[in-house]
Amino acid sequence: MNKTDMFTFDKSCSHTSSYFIRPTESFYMIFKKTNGSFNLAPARVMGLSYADYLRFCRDAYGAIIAGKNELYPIAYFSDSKRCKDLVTFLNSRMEELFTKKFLPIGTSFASFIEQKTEEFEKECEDRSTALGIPSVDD
Amino acid sequence: MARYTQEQIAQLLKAYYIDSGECYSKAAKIVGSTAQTVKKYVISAGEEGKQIAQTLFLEKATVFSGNIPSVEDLVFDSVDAFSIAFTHSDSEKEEIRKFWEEI
Repeated sequence: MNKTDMFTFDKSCSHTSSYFIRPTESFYMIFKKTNGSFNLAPARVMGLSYADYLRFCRDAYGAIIAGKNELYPIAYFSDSKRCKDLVTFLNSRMEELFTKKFLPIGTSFASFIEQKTEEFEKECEDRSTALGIPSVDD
Repeated sequence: MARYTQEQIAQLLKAYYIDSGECYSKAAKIVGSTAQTVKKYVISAGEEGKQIAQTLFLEKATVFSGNIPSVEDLVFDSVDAFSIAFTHSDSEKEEIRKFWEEI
């Protein structure tokens, strides 16, 4: 996984032999909290409603949709390669979205993530200091 | 538009038309065939079934893979705007409810 990847995939515990897409640690450094669900992020990157995103996962990537009657159903992929293909697609669109629409001209996505990582590490250090927790270097 | 293998098309059909007489009828209307023929394809793909599946797939593909907007066309112009969108709108909640009625 690259530091700039915003999405990755993991083996599911609840759906044996299936995979699901989840945000990465880099994603959570940027999007720290929500009143909704981070499950919606891939749909937003695709520019689809969540229902259409689920249909897309099902029809183009062979996913099974679980969570009948839930507001935030999950797509589970039995084929890890196809799941990985979709993750790659989502990551490339996310990088494009940041580069073309969110970041100042000339700022690379990689340097933005690097900056966010430094900020996050400093925040963790400050919190640890405030709580009297020794750093790992100590 | 993406091209799919016969196996993928069969998976698609099965995802859409799992054992439902109503769905077979709807599919048959789209391709100008009979519900029995569509069902026959789902059970075992023949040459006629393959043609039906391809037609059906193209019908769906225009919705699910042909209409993905380019990144430039996305409405978000900042990280904050993108972040707020992690919550369902009322219309989207309704769409999810309808989604479950489809299957």
